[in-house]
Amino acid sequence: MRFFIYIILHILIFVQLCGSIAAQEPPTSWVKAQGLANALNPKISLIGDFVANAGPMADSSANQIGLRETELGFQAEVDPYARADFFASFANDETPSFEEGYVALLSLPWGLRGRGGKFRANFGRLNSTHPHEYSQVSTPLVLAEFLGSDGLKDVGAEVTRAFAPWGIYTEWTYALLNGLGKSENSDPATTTVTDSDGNKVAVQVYQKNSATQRQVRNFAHVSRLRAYFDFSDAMNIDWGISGLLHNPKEMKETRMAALDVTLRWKPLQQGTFRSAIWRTEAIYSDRKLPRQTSVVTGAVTAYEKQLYRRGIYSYVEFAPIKRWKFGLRGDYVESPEAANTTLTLQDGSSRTVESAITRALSPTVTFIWSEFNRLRAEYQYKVAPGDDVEHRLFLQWTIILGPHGAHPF
Amino acid sequence: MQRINYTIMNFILFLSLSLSAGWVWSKSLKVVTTSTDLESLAKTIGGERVEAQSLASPKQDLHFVDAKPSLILKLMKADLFIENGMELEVGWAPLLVHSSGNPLIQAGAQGHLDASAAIEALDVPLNPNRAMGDVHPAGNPHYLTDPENGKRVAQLISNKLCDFSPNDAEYFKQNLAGFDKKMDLKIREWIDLMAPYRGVPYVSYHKDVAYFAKRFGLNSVGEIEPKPGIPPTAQHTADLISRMQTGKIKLIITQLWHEPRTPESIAKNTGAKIFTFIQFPGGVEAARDYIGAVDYNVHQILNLLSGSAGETH
Repeated sequence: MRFFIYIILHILIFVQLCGSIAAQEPPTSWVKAQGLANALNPKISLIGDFVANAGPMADSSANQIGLRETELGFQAEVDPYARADFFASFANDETPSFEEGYVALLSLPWGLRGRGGKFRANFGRLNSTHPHEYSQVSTPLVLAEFLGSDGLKDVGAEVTRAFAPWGIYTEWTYALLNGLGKSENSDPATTTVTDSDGNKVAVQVYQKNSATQRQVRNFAHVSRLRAYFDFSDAMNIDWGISGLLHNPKEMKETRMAALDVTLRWKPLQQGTFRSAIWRTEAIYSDRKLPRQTSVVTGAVTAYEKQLYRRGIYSYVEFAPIKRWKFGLRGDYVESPEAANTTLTLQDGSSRTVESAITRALSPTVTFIWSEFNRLRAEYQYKVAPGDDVEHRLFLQWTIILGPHGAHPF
Repeated sequence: MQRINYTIMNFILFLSLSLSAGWVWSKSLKVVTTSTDLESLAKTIGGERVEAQSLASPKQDLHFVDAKPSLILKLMKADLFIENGMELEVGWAPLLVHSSGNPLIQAGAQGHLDASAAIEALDVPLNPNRAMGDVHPAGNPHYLTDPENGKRVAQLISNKLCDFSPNDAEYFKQNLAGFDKKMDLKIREWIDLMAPYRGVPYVSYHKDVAYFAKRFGLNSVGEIEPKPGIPPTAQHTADLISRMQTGKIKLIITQLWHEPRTPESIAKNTGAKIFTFIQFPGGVEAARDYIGAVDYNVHQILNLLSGSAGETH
């Protein structure tokens, strides 16, 4: 009996040992099979952008902690001729939407590159960059004011050609877009009506499109000429001129021009932990606003007018040691529509706004835990039209899940 | 008048013939590689029938090359693009290749060669995730530090060049045979030289000399980075110093692009010597080509281990 127990115990120990050895062996065939099964799936990445901000008590968007944006990316080759990039955006309290979704053609003749779909227009320097890749937490004021808080993006087609006159990399881009995305709807026509309870409420006016057919000039045309030059292995300059023309049927003609310059210093050997960048972008905007009438009385509420605006931002960012970056940005934006308006203050008094200029200064500090995990703090000192001074503080935590994306330059 | 016409016609004919001859003469195969080790191998096999150039400088970390537009210019006219692969250049090379608008070298096209197809990878993670740091799912991508892998990649490049230019196939094969012969002799010499130091323990900044160490019998006991791609932390550095003091580890291997402060601090606390490994030909004057780079590394490590040289950085 004792012998049988002895044998059974040995068998059990042997089976247990075999099991544990089998468990320690890498299941290579399974892992390989799983890898092969995933090989044709698109690369999926997710970027979480948490932002906390402190600012004036009167501002409802201030003093909040939130997930500013979650970006879900799907990227893959469609076939030997095309590649697709889709980025879904889940912004705080907003309906999820595809921020970008475009197909790039890889084998066009004459060295042309092309893409079609919804994309951020190649206008100026930072518009084509996703906000979580900015060097500051806040969007430069001129971009937010002139191109809209979501940037200038819409559905369309774009063609690009690179040249090398005198050995200088030069790139010309032209895009035909359906419109200017949300940026053109930043001032929807509204009117005030009295509801059944006698309250005065503002409602958006439904604007019926004219029956005439849409022509090429009614689309948005965006073009950019960019040049790049290496001063040395460590230093280079990148500059561009952009133009935009949009003349929709509703007579809200928009013309914009941008000039951008970027100077970079990044030594070859120490580039992973030491670098500096100076970037400046100036935008001139000329918008023709249509005459507005009251839908109730038919009376003219605002006459047709031309709005000329200029804005600029400039920043420097310096990485003196591994993991840390320090920066400073200055903003200047003109808002002529705000000039000579009367502000009613909280104590009931009123005053006229003479200056129509917003200025801001924003120092930043960034701590890079790893390539996929970053913390940033920004303080913003802002002087708004009417010399109202605002102090804001932003804290940002950005995380990236998934494969490396190619870093745009 | 007729004589003038003749002269002009002759001049035009001469000019067009000269231009055509120049065009034909310059019609060598244009190869663009991501790194200078691949460039050196392409030049060795392709000889004067290939114009090879690298996108990255030998003094740069190949993980973090900026996708500069000036690099796009090199790719616009390339016939063949050779990359290290295994996601080493994933942060910049795909963007450049795509931006070049050159259909010949796009992923999957005949002119796109992933050199890692020739080798057997080390350090393939079983279940890769970012908690392991910036790991490469296909394995350690620094395989060209092993000269045997250099031979395999040279064979792969030769095959590709023969496909591209069958008329020059014999020439490429001869160059490959010459390279293999030279490499066999050198590898034997390097292994013999390193034989007395088999099993010598070392610490590297990043896990980028694993293939070299395996070939020559050096024993890795850790990295200065706590995980691949994660900058050193104070706690990890202190632990490493303690381990090095206990294990009497006297060799630290770093690269040209790593920050020098942490290795210097560790060396100061442990008495270890720092060796700056030259991963890519051209990193120092003495390492001009692929064989030269391996030769430089072997001899510098030998000098250091035999105590005949001071700090080699």
